[in-house]
Parts: sequence; structure tokens; C-alpha cells
Amino acid sequence: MTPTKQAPSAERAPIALDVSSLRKEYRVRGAGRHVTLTAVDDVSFQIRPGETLALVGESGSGKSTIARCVTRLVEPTAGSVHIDGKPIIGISARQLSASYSDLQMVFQDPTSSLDPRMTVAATLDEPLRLHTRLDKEGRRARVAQLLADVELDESYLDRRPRQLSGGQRQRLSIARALAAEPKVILLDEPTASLDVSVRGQIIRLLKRLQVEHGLAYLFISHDLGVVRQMSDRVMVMYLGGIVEQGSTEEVFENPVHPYTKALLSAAPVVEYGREHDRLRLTGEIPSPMKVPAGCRLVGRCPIAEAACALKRPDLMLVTETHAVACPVSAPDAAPVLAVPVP
Amino acid sequence: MTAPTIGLPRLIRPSRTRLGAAGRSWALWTGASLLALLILTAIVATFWTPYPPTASGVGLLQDAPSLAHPFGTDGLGSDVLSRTMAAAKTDVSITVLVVLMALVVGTVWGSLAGFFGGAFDYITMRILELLNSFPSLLLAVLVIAVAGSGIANVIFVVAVLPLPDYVRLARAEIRSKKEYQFAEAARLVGRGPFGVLFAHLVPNSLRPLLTYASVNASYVASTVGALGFLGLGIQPGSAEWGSMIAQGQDAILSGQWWISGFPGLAIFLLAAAFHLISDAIADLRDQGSAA
Repeated sequence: MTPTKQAPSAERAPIALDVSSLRKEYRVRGAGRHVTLTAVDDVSFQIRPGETLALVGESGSGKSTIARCVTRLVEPTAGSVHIDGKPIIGISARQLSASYSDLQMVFQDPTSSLDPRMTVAATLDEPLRLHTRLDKEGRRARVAQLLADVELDESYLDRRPRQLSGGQRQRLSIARALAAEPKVILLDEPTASLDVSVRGQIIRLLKRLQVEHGLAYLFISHDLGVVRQMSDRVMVMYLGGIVEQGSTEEVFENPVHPYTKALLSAAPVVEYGREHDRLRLTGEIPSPMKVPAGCRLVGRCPIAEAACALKRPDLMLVTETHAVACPVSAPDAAPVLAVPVP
Repeated sequence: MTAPTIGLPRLIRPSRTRLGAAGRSWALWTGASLLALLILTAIVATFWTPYPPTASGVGLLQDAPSLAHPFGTDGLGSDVLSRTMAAAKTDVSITVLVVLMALVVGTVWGSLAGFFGGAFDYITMRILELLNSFPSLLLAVLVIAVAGSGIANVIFVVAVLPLPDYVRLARAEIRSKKEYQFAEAARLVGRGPFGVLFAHLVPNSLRPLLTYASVNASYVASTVGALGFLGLGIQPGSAEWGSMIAQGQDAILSGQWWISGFPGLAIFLLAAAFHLISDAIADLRDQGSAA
């Protein structure tokens, strides 16, 4: 069974971020012998300008590793990443530094991702010096504009990160990501470290900036409420692999994969549309060094069949925009490499 | 749109909070004033001393402190005050120069080793172990005995002795900080490895290095004195505190304490000044939140 090739995307609207068969393996010493740990297992997805793709899953599922591989903060083992058609993988370190004008990331914890010694002005000036040809005056004007963009007052210019609140720090790191006018921003749990009262503000800010700048977001989160509010499409990850992917509406209203169902059932808020079958998994998420050979969920899955333990299931289309890697839940679906981008 | 712009009340001006408690500490002020006094003395001595410092017979031999010779005179009839002042030039400048050299070289070397690791780091550590396996003063005496005395050799030897400590300290700081997220963020800002290292990691690692540098400065001040005392430092003739102490050592027994006493006090003050400053920097480090 060969998966049908995804439709060639040349004649369609541009793809801002195109990730194909991304793979990250670590060699780990386990019990005296070397074990290969697959943190990200052949993950493919695409994001269009102005679109948000959410990546959800438990901690340890490989969400952050995907973001770090896409930016090459860690080198992926295999796969390709293109921003606006330009490759990120296989280019020199110098070219990669230049590519960061198109590809940016906002980290979970702004307290550790901002240089504690640098003032707000210096933090925002740095990317401008490296990525633009603006002179001193031009950069100063641009810094002021960036602060206005993220709703920070200009009186903060001389402050250092520790003199800012958590929300203000995250605004600053968002402004830093915006400085070089990127096309794609990876948001690695950007609200997880913030007070609940500030989260909504940051989410609204991110949405407004997306509209104004036509940004493509990869939104990594385990907060399903925020994901529902923020994203156009959702990708569910378990132990390094994508188990379900589709429009936010479809995934939340009509989850197909047992893991997705369990994830949604586990969420404390029960107002995700109509009540779907509650589902509880047994046991704990296994160690990434002991991923089952067949379906990753085997052993915890209440609907598993004998065949599940033998072969890793492919993603299969349930609808035009919704794919699931579970032949038991979706027996008639057609296998695909990745869901076509709407 | 209004909420985010409401900041903390500006009770404390940022520039003030940076010095904070250290700005009020007596240790910093005493240390800094002492050092300033000694530097000022060295500067004044280049233009003026009460008597020519190298001239003998400007007074009686081994004359006790008096109005004409506040620090007394030595065995050649030279004015001890003038010689102590002139020696400040030598000792203070050697100390400062040595510490700066060791600090800069050690920081750059250790940072590179800690950041890039690999073979360079391995070789670095083996060199440091080799250097550390010699007793330091013995090494200094050996080198000077072979290469000859003279200011350049003294500076070189005294700077190399503490170098392994600077390298180790810088290396450890960078190794612990290079996984920090702001280092990754700096890469995403577009910095190459050297940019990440020298624009972000090194500035965030300077405090412990500066603390050590000021501790080391007091040690360097006394080592320069010790080498001078052993006759291995500066050529006799030009004034240096350690050699002045040596000149007066026999006279102490017969009661002429001032020939060795005043240059000894000067070495003590220079070492104490750096010690007090290092204490203050260490306090500053405790209350500062580096990350």
C-alpha cells in the first residue's frame, strides 16, 4: 500500500511553512547499549500565510522538538523545511542566520529567553542591526513602532527584563520576533508561563498581529481552550507522531482517533461543542525509548485490535480536511502522507 | 489597549537599582578610595616627589621620620617618602596591567573552550593541568632565573600564574550558560556563534570573573612585592616596594622600622583595596538576578 502523493502545491496559494517528513532521532545510552530514541517521527505539515496550525499533545510528545528542528536549534535527522519555498535545511550557518528574518520563534518563558542584561531598546535594536540596513534613526523609529505594535509604552525603552512583568516580557519577545518582519512565527506555548489574566491579552495581541502582518503561526500548546480559540487547524501528536490532523472545528467536534478523544475528554472544561463519547486511556504514556512497534497507542487503547500491534498506521483521510492514523476508527479512509492544506 | 501600558510605579530609577546596596556598602567606598589614592599617588609621583627618588644622600643615613623626611631616610640617605611614591608607579601599574592581561586572555580563552568544546577544550584543560602542577611562586622564580629579571618578565610570569583560574572560571560560566534560552534566542535573532558568545554569554558571565580579578589583584600586588623582595623583580635602582623592604630588612632589627615599614604598608594597602572591592562585587552579585 503506497500512500497517495499529496497534491503538488505549485499552482495553489503560496505555502508559508512547508515541513516534510521531519524526523529527529537521538542516540541514547540505555542499560549499557545504545538505543535510538525517535522524538519526531516523519512529521509533515504545511501552513499558509495568515493561518494558524496548532500542535497539541502531552509533554514529551515531541511538540517542542518539532519547533526546535524547524528552526534548526537542533539539527533534524531527516526531512525538509521550506519557508516561502526557500529551504532551511541543508544551507550554511550563515545563510541560516539570514533566513531567520523570515522564520521566528517565541519561547515559552520570556524570563529565560530574554538577555537579562539588555534593555528593551537594545533587545529590539539587535535584530534590526543584523537583518535590516536601517541607520540609527531608522532603527529607533522602528523600535518605537514595534513597541506600539505590541502595546508596550515607550517609557519602557531603558528597562531590563527583570523590571518588566511577565506579560510585558512576553510582549517584548513577541516584538523581537516581529522585528525583522518574518513570514512564519513558531509559538512554543507562548502563554503557558503567564497569569491567566494576561493570557487572553497575549492571545488577542497575537491574533491582531497575524491579521496585520499576514503571519503564519505554528501554535504549540497543551491548553485546548486556547487552541480552539486561536487556531484554524489542529494537529494532535503522541509519542513523536501525528495521530490526527484537521480543521479545528472537525477535530474538536468530531474527534476520531482514540487518543484525541481521550485528550479532549481529559480537558477540565466540558463545553467543546456537543458531548462526544468520553474516553479514558489506561496506563501512563510509555517512555520514548519504548514506543510500541505498531500503533503507538497499543497497550493503552480501549479499541485496539490484534493488527494494531503489528503495523504502524498511516494517516488516512476521513474528510477532505481531516486525517486520522487509526484504521480501527476509520476503516474506509484512504491513506495520505499529509492532509491537503485547505 | 490601556492595561499593558500601566507599568510598575517608577519608585526606583533603574540606574540606581543597579548599584543598589553595593553603592551604599562601606567596603566598596573604602576599597575604591584607597585604590584611587594609590593611583593618584602614582600619577603625582611621575611629575613631583619631595626629593628625587633615586638620589642618595638627600638626608642623613637611616634618619627617623621628621618634618623634612616624613617617612625618614634609608641606608643610602634617600628619602623614603619619595621612593615609596615613585614605587607606587611601578607596583600599581604592574598590578593593574597584569590583572587586565590575565582577565582578558583568560576570559577569551576559557569562553572559547567552554563554548566550542571538542579538541580545543580538551587541549586547554591539559595545558591548565600542566600549569597547575607547578607550585606557582617556584614557577615564577624559575622563569625569572632562566629568562632574567626585568619588568616585562615579571609582568609575564605574574600574569600567567593565575591564568588557569581565569580560564577555568570563564569556561565553567559559559558551559553553564550556553544552554540558556537567551543564547538560543540570540541565534534566532541572527547572531552567529561568536555573536552569541561575545555579545550575550560573556557579558552575562563577567561578574564572577570581575570578582575573581579583584581577589587576584591583591594576590598579584603581594607577589610583585615578593619577587622584588627576593631581588627577582625590578632592577635595583628604580624604586619598587618589595625591593625597598629588602633593603631595610636588616635595619628593622636595629630599630629603623621605617625603611621597610612604609613600603610594606603600601603593599598592604594596595592588596586590601582590591580585597574590599572584591567583597563589594561579590555582594552585588548575590543580590543581582543574572537570569
